[in-house]
Amino acid sequence: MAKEILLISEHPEDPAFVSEVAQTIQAQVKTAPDAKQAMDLIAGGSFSAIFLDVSKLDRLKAFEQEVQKRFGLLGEQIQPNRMHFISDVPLNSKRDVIRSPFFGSFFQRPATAAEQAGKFYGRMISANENAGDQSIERFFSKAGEVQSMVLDQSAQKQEAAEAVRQYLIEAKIPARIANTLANVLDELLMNALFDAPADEFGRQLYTLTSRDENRKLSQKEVVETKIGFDGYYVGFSIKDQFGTLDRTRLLNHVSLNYRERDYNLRQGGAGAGLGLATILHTGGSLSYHCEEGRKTQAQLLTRVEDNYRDFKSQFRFFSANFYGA
Amino acid sequence: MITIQKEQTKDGLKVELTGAIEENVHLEQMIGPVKGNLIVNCKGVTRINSVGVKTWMKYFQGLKAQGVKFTFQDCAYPIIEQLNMISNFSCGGEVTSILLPYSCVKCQNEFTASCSTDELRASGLQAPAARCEKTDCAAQFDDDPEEYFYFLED
Repeated sequence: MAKEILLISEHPEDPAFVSEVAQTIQAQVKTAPDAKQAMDLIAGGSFSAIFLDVSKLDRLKAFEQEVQKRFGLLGEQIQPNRMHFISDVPLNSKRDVIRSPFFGSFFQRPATAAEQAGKFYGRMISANENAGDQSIERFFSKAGEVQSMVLDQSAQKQEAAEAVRQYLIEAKIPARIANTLANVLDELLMNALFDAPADEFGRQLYTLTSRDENRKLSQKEVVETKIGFDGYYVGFSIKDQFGTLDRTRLLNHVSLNYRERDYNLRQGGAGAGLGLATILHTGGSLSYHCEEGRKTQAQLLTRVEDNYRDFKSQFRFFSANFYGA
Repeated sequence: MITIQKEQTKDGLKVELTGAIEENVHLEQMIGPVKGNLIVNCKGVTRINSVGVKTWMKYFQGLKAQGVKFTFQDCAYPIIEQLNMISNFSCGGEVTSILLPYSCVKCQNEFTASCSTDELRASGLQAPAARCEKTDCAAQFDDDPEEYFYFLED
């Protein structure tokens, strides 16, 4: 049976984007103008992805109400991991959307080059299907190369970030973009090395440990890093073996805005609590895949451009997919 | 890792930061005691991670509490990004000049030009025109001006 994706939107630009996604993942598109009509389609089918226009909050609220009415909030017909929210503003200005129980993936409607963005998004969906460890390999399967690094000491984080920076500069990527991506890798590795490890009771082990203290990592603490590059896109994947990422905490961090309020230095931990904000500020698309108690995989995908201005304004998405134990 | 060059001038202690500001950077130890004012030149800063931001703010908030006056010169883009992302990143210090990023429309050469914040304010936050050092072609300001100059808005 052919794969199907559902678009719930009346926005004139969305069909073109979703059609590109569908073509890339070899799926057929069904469309519903509103939540009410979408429920009939959802009840009668199994969609591998549902795209919902949430530009206006009442569209999201209507969707939530219809789901509750038809299937109950615990109904399995709607899985957040298959939901893709479309908006006309960035994620950090959509706090109500972040709080939705159906939040899975989010992107701002591309202002230009919708076809290219749709293809990119389709590649991402395709690579992440089956929730495996090989998503970076799948993303770069047609062209490009993927390299792996395994960190068994915490101090290797800096060497890894520097090695990636050098690699990107040698690949003729503008220095500012290379520095930015090295910083993103640094932050993702810091989370995997210091925030993820927890004991059997779920208590974090290294929140108080100074980040400049070198620590030999146990077998369970070893962090796997993969870097893919095909001349157009760069991707990182950082995997820990704990699966302790908390959905609510992650999404709260997404909505933090230190432009509106002062940043207060943390007294109770060695980290800064700024890592995610730093990552989201870049031009990359970030996705988290967390299998409780087993692994968290953070992935950054980004198109490399000839200049920083284009890099920063590129289409990007954010995904947070969680799977129970 | 960062390197710090120090020079005691008549205006105060001048320090020049070069490299990445990360968890192993201890500004208090590296800069040492400050007699008079502190002038921090940031043109060589390549990146700053979240722990580096924390270190930075702890150090400069401490200086402010001691009554030391400090200014930031030639702030490179990693510092500008933090100034724009975190409202209190300058910790009360004055940003006197910043580096403006440009890229050549012909050869994509990246380069920066220093500009005083007074000049930028006087121009209504417009990046001055620049030409590529390699091809002498017109260069475009390589960022979103609204984003890049956000911290200079009143």
